[in-house]
Amino acid sequence: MPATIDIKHEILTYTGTFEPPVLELWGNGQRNHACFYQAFTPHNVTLRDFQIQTHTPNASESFHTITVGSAIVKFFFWQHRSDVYEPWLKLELLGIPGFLDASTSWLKKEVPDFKFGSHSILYHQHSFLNGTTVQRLLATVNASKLELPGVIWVAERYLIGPFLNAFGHANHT
Amino acid sequence: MSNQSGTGFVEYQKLFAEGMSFYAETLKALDLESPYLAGTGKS
Repeated sequence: MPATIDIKHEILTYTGTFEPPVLELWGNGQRNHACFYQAFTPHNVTLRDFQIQTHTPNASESFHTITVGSAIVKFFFWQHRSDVYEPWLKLELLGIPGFLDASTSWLKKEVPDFKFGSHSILYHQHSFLNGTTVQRLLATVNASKLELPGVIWVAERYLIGPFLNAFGHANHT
Repeated sequence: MSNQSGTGFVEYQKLFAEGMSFYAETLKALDLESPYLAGTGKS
């Protein structure tokens, strides 16, 4: 009988870095909100889900924070970051690529020279293992490589007390 | 991964599919079951 992973906590973080920063969006709050609202309407956002920063102390701070289901989207002039938490990960894992696509594709229209510099996806899982030993798990490494060009995949596992912590990190530049 | 017209956009669907395959391979080698692989065709 296979052993099972009893997940206690997990998070998937996507970051897409812009190169150069999209300073063209500065001062376009109304238009930016409309784009985000349109992008996230299929995910049942309401106006209450949008945090509006009327004053940005400097250009490196986030200027939009949006709650979409159990995900938090932060938009900076230099980066888009989405933190996806449970239960979304369990319920709609296969919908996350579409969600990321919707949250970034509008930039093509709004910023004519828009360009991504890099993409990063980090998955972190904090779990109990049932039916096997952590020593066995830690001794086994998946040596296969991703076939997508430009993508580096790193998988790490370690223990904190009785918990297994597992990271999967894909980076594309 | 395809870079659409030099804009740096990537196909998230392909990236996730590749990541899920890697995850499934790892679990299979360990004879482990995960709640995520049900319904993905990778269990």
